[in-house]
Amino acid sequence: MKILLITEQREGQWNKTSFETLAAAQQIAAKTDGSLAGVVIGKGIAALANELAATKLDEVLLVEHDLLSAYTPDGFTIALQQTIAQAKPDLVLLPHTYQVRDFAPKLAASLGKGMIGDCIGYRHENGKLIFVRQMFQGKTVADVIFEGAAPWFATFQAGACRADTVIQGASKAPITPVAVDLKPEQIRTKPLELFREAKQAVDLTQAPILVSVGRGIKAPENIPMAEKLAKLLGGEISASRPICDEGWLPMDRQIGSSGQTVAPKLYLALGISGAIQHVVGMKGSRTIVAINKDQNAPIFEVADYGIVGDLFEIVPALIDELEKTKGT
Amino acid sequence: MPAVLTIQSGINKVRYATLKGIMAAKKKEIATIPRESLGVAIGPTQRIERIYVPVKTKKTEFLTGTPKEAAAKLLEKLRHDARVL
Repeated sequence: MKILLITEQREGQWNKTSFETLAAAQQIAAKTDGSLAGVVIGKGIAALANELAATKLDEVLLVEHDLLSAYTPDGFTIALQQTIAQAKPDLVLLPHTYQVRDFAPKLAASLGKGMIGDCIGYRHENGKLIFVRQMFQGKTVADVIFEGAAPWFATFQAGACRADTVIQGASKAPITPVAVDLKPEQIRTKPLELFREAKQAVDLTQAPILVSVGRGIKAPENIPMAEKLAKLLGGEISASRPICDEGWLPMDRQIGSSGQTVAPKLYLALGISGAIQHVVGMKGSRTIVAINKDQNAPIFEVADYGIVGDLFEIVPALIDELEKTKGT
Repeated sequence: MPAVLTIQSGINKVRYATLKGIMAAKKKEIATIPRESLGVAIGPTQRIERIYVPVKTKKTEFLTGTPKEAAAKLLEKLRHDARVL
């Protein structure tokens, strides 16, 4: 199978989910005895193309154009249509990021092809490639296969694959520039300046450790305690929906089906019951710790470690312990 | 124009239908647009083979003791077993 992986970068910085999808692309290429080309798209991205070329793939396609320096759905769709026309892949894989959500359906539809989005995994069985995706807020899972002629489009959820399983190449892959024909009048939206809503806002999907609070935190006055723990652990603070609805933390800190989907290496859930809408947003985390006074809380179903107890006693104890080891 | 805008949840408070609105809805016309009239040929591009309940793969290890003991055990596990700290 001929695979095309489309990576994502912004201002020369990778979106790390790209490497998770690269890991899946490498595995599918190996299993189907196929080939893999990786696309880097934007402007001034030669260094990134070099970095990508060090991983195990057959070719890196460098899609550069002045009109691609800032992301626009029109610009990216047109450039990638042309890239796909030249590369003629069977399968196009993308990380399921905000940006990909924005343009990938348009790209697939413009070619009259389908897309299986937000996959949590895949299987290769009897020569058939099956994609696994969640339905009904993660209550059920579905196996989906492509019908009709290639190319097929699929996106992988953050945390679906492990970036640390990416294989480095024995030698550097060749980098091929792709000439795209793009005119200013074809781009119908104009991106203005990027801004962060809150001064301290972060992209939670990139945080290695998250301390997340739910209803059990009881009052906004108690949030600094969780923030202190997050800081000591070198992580960020996030929350379940009720906390953001109450305005105790900004909306961009919300994890779950109406917030962000994250997969940090450590997710610490404080006083979060684990409603399915929350769990879909964090269950890909490598290690999950739940602290809850209700031993039947569904959050324990997905937790690796659980403490049944009062978070107002346990969190200060954790802070003490961490400060102690920091001090020595 | 026309342009398409999509809106994320949380942008606004949900406005619930009033009784008057619910009653009025009964009289509103629902337009049906047959696919044929759109002049686009759409065949299926994918097929769902199976829908199932996800299998639980994790086994939760409960840490017990006083808050201080549980906290110490947790940090120990995170440092040495899970190795995430």
